[in-house]
Amino acid sequence: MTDAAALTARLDPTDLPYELRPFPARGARRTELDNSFAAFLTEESAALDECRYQDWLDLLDERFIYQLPVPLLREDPSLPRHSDRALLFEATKQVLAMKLGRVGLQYAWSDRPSGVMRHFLGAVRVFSAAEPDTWRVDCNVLVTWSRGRDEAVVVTAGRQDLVHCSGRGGYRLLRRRVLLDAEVATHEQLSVIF
Amino acid sequence: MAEALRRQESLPGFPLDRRAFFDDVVLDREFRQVFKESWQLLGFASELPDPGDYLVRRLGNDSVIVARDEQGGFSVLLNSCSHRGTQLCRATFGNAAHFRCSYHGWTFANDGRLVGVPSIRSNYPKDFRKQDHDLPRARVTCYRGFIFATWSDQAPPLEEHLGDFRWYLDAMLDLAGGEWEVYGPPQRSVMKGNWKVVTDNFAGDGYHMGTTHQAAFEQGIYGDSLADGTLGKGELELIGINIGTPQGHAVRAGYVVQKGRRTLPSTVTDPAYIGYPREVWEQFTAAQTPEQVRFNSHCEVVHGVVFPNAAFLSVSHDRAIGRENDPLTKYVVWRVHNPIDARRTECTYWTLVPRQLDEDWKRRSYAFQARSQSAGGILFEMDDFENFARIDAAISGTVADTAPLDLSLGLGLGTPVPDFPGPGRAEYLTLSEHNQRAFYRRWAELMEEGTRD
Ligand code: FES
Ligand SMILES: [Fe+2]
Repeated sequence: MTDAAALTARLDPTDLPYELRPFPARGARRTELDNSFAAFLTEESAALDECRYQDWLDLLDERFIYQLPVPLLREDPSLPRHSDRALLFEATKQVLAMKLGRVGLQYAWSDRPSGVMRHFLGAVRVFSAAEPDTWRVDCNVLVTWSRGRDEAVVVTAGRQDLVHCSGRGGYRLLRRRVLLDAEVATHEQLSVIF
Repeated sequence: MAEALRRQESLPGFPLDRRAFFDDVVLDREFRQVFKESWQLLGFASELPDPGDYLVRRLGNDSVIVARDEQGGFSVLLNSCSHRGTQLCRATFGNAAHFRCSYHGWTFANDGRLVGVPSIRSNYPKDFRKQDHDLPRARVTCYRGFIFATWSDQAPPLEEHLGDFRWYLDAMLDLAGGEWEVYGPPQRSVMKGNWKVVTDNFAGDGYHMGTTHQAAFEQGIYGDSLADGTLGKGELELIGINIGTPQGHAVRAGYVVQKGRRTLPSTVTDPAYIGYPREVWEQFTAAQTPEQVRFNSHCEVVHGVVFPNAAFLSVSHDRAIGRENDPLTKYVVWRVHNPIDARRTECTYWTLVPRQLDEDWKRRSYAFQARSQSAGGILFEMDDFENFARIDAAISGTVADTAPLDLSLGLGLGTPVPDFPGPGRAEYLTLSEHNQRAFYRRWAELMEEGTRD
């Protein structure tokens, strides 16, 4: 292979794990799919809120990647409000499994006592995506978390998902990107899974 | 209260007054006597690559603009208009040759000079001189890409403030050829708790690893790496060395040695740079002095503090939090802990990567930091935040306030490291509050100033 060909092969985005690929752009708007994807995401959030963690993990593809880009407060409103490089947090399915597995550990201090989390989803919109059988689903989320008296968290964000759906009813999350509204979040807001 | 601390220092156990961790009166004094009189880390030159680039940061409790001027130099300017005090930059970063105030339109050049005043000729007195209204400028020194500033005219030059720590900073930077860059804009978050709590943790708290991070170790987030607090794996173990300097800076380095060894070997025959690609080890060695090689080789974890509020950590992760074939990879994170008030702290995190390593390595290093110990690092960092919040929740009651805290771990038990390559008093003792004592000693010294006559 020539150097140039080697380079192109290397740069083929489908060779790269999801965390290294650009987030898929929105394709055509698919309003007819909104309800079915909203139903899937509602069940998915309910699994988290109700602490059915294995049910939730089962909805993630093995390649799943979860990212919270660093919010950017810039002068010019036409520029992106989140970094395309820097992240407040990133997780693979394995990292999330460890996080959710902490509830079973006696000395996982920040998870014991545990807090109560609730997801409120709104404006679920489905778009086509370039990869076959995948859909980009954008929505608004408001998440609350409370624990004890002084620990009440409300956090709002835009959420962008890449969802695999083969058409036989099975949905799997491939990617999730969470765009926080606040520039600087508290550690409690950041401990939420969106 | 600082006097109280000094008196207590001579008591057995080195107790510490709790008021220092929740009282805004103490914080006010800290802003004037500790922060204003010290050099503070504001950011990195690589965050401002082009003329006109600016960042808004905090220097003590003042908002400042850090700007790169047309000549490539840095200015640190008070982010407050000289007319009525309006905040000049509302955004956190950008590029601008001038800052125009949003209230009446006074305009300042990015080196702080007042250059434009609407209606100056018609409506200001004849003797109004623009140059009397420039923005206050802090002293700035950029040392090897680290931008430090201070409001103090009296503070010694930065090099002197860094003192013995400078050797360690050089050694850590020279390890990877000397050229580092910040990976993306920094992460920021707000934590509950006083700024000193998190800072003293970074100065030398190896003691909390086994308890605070017990769950993380049980889950094996360090995989096959050795950063296992006090106990290593298999045939190896970790020896901790503490270095606290009179300026209040601290370094705690953990070295991998054969099990049963109590001391570091005095010569390094096969330098190893844990977490960096083997292909570059030889090149790394060639770029360092023999003393630097002895400091960096077989070092598995190093963390510490640059007084008053900067901290750093360098440690490795592997596929336990990565992909199947991910090799053990180091990350280096620098942080600043800025008080918002006595009980809340804003933390800024910069991950530095060696310029010479490839993009894959840099991305992996960054990912390991982002997954474990970033502002949202749910596997590790959260248990630290949890404990800092638990301190804050319990420290300030009437009775709680009267019970001193303790800083005596390892007091008098460390043994000097003979011919340690770096300066300062380096002592062996894997679990010790030696470094925290150096930090609080310097803090008390500055807090006391002006209270004695
Ligand atoms: S306050 Fe800035 S111009 Fe008046
Ligand atoms: Fe910790």
